[in-house]
Amino acid sequence: MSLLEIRNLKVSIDAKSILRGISLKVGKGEVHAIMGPNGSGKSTLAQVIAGNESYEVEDGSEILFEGQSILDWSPEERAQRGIFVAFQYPVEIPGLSNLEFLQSAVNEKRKSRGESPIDLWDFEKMLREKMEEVGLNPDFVERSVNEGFSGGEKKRNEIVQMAILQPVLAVLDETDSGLDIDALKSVAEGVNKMRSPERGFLVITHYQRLLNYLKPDYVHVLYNGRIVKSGSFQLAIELEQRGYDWLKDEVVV
Amino acid sequence: MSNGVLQSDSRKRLLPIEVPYKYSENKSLPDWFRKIIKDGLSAIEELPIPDSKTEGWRETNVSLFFNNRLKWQHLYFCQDIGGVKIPLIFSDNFPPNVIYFNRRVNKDGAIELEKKGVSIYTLSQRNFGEDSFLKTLLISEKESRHIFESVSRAFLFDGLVIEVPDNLVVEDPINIYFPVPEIKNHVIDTPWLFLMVGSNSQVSISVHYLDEREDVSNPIWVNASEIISLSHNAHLKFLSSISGSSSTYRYMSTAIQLRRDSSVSYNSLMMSGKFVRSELNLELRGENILSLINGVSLNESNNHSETQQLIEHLQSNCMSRINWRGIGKDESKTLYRGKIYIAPNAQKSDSIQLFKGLSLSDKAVVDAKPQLEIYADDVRCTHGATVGPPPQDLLFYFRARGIDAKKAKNLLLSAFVRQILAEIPFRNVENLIKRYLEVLYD
Repeated sequence: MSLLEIRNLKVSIDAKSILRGISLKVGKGEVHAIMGPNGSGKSTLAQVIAGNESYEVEDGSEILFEGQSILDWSPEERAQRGIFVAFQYPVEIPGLSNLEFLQSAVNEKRKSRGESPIDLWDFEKMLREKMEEVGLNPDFVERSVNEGFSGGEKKRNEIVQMAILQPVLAVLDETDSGLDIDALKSVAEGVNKMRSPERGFLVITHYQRLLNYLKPDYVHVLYNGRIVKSGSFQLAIELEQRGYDWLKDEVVV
Repeated sequence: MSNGVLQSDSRKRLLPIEVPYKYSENKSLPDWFRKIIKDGLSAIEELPIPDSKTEGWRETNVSLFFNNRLKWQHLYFCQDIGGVKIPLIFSDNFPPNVIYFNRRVNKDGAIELEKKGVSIYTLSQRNFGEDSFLKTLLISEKESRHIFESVSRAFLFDGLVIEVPDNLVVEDPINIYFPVPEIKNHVIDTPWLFLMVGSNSQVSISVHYLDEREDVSNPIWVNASEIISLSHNAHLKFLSSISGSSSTYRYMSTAIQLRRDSSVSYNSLMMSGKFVRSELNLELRGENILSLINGVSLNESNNHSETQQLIEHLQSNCMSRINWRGIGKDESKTLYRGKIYIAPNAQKSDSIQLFKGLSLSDKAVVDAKPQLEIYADDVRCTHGATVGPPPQDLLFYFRARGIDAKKAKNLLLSAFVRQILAEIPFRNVENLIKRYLEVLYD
């Protein structure tokens, strides 16, 4: 049984078709990369996996997580069961500290499993450590979520959240975009530390450079709402050298 | 009658004006003081009751105050008045120094303050300020603009006075309470607060208007007035908390006069009550004055909460900041109307006015109208307002982290309020607002 299995996923928003029948399997312990040009539907895929209700999933589509259909699950249920999406544009929450936000998230997850709330003292210590690991100032625990953060800090903060929530499936939506080389390395290290035989990753990216650090097991090319090519890490290298245009020709053929 | 509001002479029957009439004839009172009462009475008779056509009152339905079902009695002349209560949440966080109700002042908690030189007394205790600055202050008040102001004047039987002398720094806040007692009739109360801060002095004052009655079957109309005067280089931190029940009707007027080099941090928590209209008027009368205004209105049920502000920059080089928030739930109406006025000679004025509103239900009205009226050409003034429900993208972010929409809304609400509380220079203010915030939770 795959960790994530997507079957014939068709998605539209405001009657505009974006994903036109995607099928994909991610096994435990595997890292899959989804690459594709702008507008190919990469972020839509991440949003739909997270459960964003603004998107309309067409009949006949299926997303299975550990063998169970998740299309009827609310976003919070998906998160509580171990699906995490690191967003391309993390929102700012003025007035709510990272500590309180993440503590609430962890406790909701624990509650859904019948576990008692986490000790605040221990939690703050852990959060500070995780922040330091990805190169964020640990004093950011008291800062409002993402408020006034630079683009790189927001992305690092997403990785911190992932490290704290310990998902079974992590989807990274263009986590590398807008990052300088140091931030990119921190993010990649954060992800690599979390790789385990029990966890799967779906890394959505426009560029190859993050993949150089992550070395994905599989690379898929998303173009115009469809996966048009799959291969090994070599495919990512090829895309970096040749761009996406040659694929358009292949699709037409 | 329009909108259930009585016009013309009917109002006389509803207000116990026979008492101030008699009072104004009392020859033992100073003439100037009797004149204020007489002027107030005339204004009650002459001024129209505001209705939906009156500028500044278009969305304010005052039929709660003026309708045939209510014959108001003044608190000072009521029989069967019960005691007052100050809940622990207040007394623990803002230990009472002064409690004023029904012409009586309890200042057991102010002994140390008086030793330091702060004067605390009532108008009647000092023969109505015959020989003081207070007289000048009262006489110089502008004419009543509407019936609520005239009610305060006509029923100015007494008032609490706090005088901070020159060159005194009071570190700890002075906490003043205006509670309402248990009542058995429809009662009007007209508390007055006069606060004078001397030159080169610095003081922190919190004022709490409470209604903690057990029996709220009878409405109480609290028509409160505050006159605050800051001398040169005087510095005031002021916190006003207003809370009420389903039968508390409040009109609240605060006039603050500031002189050269002075500063005020005016902070307000408006926490429920059937009706509250708060009018704040700041007159920046000298140069180099700083005024910081922060406030939040929490509103629910079918209550009405309204804030009217006028900040007058009358001299050059003054700075004012307004940061206000309104939150409405259920079918409540929360209004913010704020105007910055820059006089022709108030060059180099620097003013920012911001309102953020959060509406927690489809039927809750949260509305803001920030205004600028500028007659000087070398100024920096900006204003802005945003109002809406909790943003969907924010809610989704919470949900994608495992926090359901209900909890997410509550966390967002707390965060929204906390942003303002962070600006308020009074410790424990978050504790005070907690129980009212919980009422707004989903």
